[in-house]
Amino acid sequence: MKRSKIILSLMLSIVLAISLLAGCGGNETTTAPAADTTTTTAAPADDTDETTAAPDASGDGYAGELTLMHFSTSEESQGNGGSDGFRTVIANWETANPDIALNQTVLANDEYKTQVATLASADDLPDVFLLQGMNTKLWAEQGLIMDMTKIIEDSPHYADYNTSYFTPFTDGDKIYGLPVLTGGTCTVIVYDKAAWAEAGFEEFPKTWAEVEEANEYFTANGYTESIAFGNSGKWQMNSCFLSTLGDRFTGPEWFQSIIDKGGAAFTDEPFVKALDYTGMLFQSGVFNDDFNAINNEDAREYYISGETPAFIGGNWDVSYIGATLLETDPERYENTGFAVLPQPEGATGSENSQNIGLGYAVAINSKLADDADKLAAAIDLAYYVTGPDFASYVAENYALGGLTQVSNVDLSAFDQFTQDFYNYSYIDTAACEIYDSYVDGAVWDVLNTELQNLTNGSTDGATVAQLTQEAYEANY
Amino acid sequence: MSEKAYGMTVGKKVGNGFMATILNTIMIVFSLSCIFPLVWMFYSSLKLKREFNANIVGLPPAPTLDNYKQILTNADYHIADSMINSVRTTILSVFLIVMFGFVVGYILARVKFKGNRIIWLMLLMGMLIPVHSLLVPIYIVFNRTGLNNQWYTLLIPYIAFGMPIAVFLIHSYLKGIPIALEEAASIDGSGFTGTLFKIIMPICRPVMVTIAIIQTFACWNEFSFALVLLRDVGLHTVPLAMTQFTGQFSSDYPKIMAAMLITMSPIVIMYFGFSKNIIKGMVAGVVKG
Repeated sequence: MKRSKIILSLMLSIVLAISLLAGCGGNETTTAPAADTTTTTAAPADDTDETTAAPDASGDGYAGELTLMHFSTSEESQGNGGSDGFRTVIANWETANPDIALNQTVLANDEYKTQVATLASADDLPDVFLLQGMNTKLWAEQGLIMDMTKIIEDSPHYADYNTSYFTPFTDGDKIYGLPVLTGGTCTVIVYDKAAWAEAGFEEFPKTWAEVEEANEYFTANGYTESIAFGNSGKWQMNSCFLSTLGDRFTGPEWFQSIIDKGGAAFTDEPFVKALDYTGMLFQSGVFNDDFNAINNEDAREYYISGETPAFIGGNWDVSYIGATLLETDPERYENTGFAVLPQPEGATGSENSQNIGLGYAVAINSKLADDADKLAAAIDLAYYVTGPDFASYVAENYALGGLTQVSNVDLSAFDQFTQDFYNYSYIDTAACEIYDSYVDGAVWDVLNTELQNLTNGSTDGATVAQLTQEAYEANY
Repeated sequence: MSEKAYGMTVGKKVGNGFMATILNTIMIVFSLSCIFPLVWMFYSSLKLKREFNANIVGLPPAPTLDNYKQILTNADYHIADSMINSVRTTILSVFLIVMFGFVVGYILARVKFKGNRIIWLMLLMGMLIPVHSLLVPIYIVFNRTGLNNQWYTLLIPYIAFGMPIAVFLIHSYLKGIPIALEEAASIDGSGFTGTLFKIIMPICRPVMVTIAIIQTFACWNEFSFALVLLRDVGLHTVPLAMTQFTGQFSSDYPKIMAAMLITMSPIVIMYFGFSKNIIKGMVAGVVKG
């Protein structure tokens, strides 16, 4: 007994001593991790090396430290084309700028949002960081972020930018960030073409009445319901359903007015109609009964296992479904198609819309205005990570698009599933806004909670709209 | 054979056996419900993400150690660093909380001086202020003084926020100990320091162990200060390191579970090493003879 105590004490002492020694040396800020892209992409290392030599990847002669904060963790980059591409181009930029010590703080998304908000409160933001659309107006008012309007106009890639992506990062006529990562759809119906053909629909129904009709067939033929959906995280109903369905009722001008505080209100009749329609749909039996008790990760398993012939989610779900089906059920993989939400009765907006955008932008700390060389390096980094090198990388490896448009994307290297999804995302559909990229998180907290009540049948659209409007007036 | 065995009739024995079976069954079910999460964590860590999502409670169809291999070989995860950081921070914080708490608690309980009551009330108020409301001010102070993002950064808030409960417990415990002990020690020639550490401290051992247990868990699991005050990934503690397996839209639960099992090991070693002391500390003082 005594001996074991001695051994234990010895072990703990050694751990303590080692940790203290490690601590003394652990003061260095983590420099950029090598782009350990463990994903099996076709990204040729030689290609990326070539791009590092490109003149636009130079830090304009600045030598010193530059701090960067983002959330493309090693884990996030596995299977996420945007994150993988982002890490890759950062590594390239570092290689091309050996005189610049790029000190990165890389946190998971939730923790990133908490920490960057704390840093903003303390006016201690890093030199370069990722700005969420909903923070733009407030941080711009507080003078925390640099007005990048001129910087963007002077960009060598300006002609190729998809300027519609700038909206969340705009306040008045000023732009505060270069949209970054990939523009992926947040609302897509993933469906089994063969199953729906058996139900009498060669393509996905254009109206919800037809979906309800098909639902009778599916429930009578071994399926639990027609469409799987998961909303236990609350944000899914907003991001992956209402943003698009709302656009069908209100049109884009209404939401632009909400963003601009131009007079539109959540209590406006078209939006209340969208809410009521959402409530009615989720009470109709078309969706799985437990949609408010499970999240999107659980719901997509219903589709993968064949329990439901369709699923509604975002581009992140499509990546997972594709990878899983390819391995477990190649036939279902081949039969999988993509569709926009059917048009609700009484809606007058675009029938082909789906919400897509870039939720984050590369922003620069306004304090860099005092250091011209450092600012030049920061601008160079911002141009590079949102520029053609990034866009080409994600297009060629993942069939995804970013801020900079790439002409003549060769999709022939990809299978039909990937090609169809690329066309759905960027070619065949009309873009509308993602609600929670704008306004204020407190407003969406109220709406998201009330949407759960609405779809559970315990409240109505008018009440949800009223509560959301109150939160909007109080917080925005 | 005698009808009576150990003073009980056969009827009573059967009755006792029946009751014992029922009670044991209840206890076994209860024990299993406590153990199951650990067992579930273990076998889930042997699954792939896809297998876990397809069947959350099922056994792994093809057990694999891939998650462990990835966690231990991917330098970006910083699992080893985070464990070392957590062990160091927890040991130092708990040791200092217990020692400072004991000394301050003793002085406040036994020494009458002007301001004693105010210090006591201020320490008690420390337990009433929500930690989250102080995050930003503390961040600003640490940032301006250069105390943030150092290996010792977390010791300061952990000790500061651990002190009130430690002082409160020591103070309450000492109120039950007659002052005659110190008087007797004084008559025998013991000085203040000798009395404090050689007479009182051994008596306070049960409550000090209780404080150590509470604070070990508090420091090991603390998240908010670690997130806000540390920017360098190499200084992150275990709770922060765990977050990197949760992506923006999805989580890799099997990997999280594998990482949790790895990072739990120091605490488990500590528990098994000191289990007798911990249990003794928790029950000592319950019965007074």
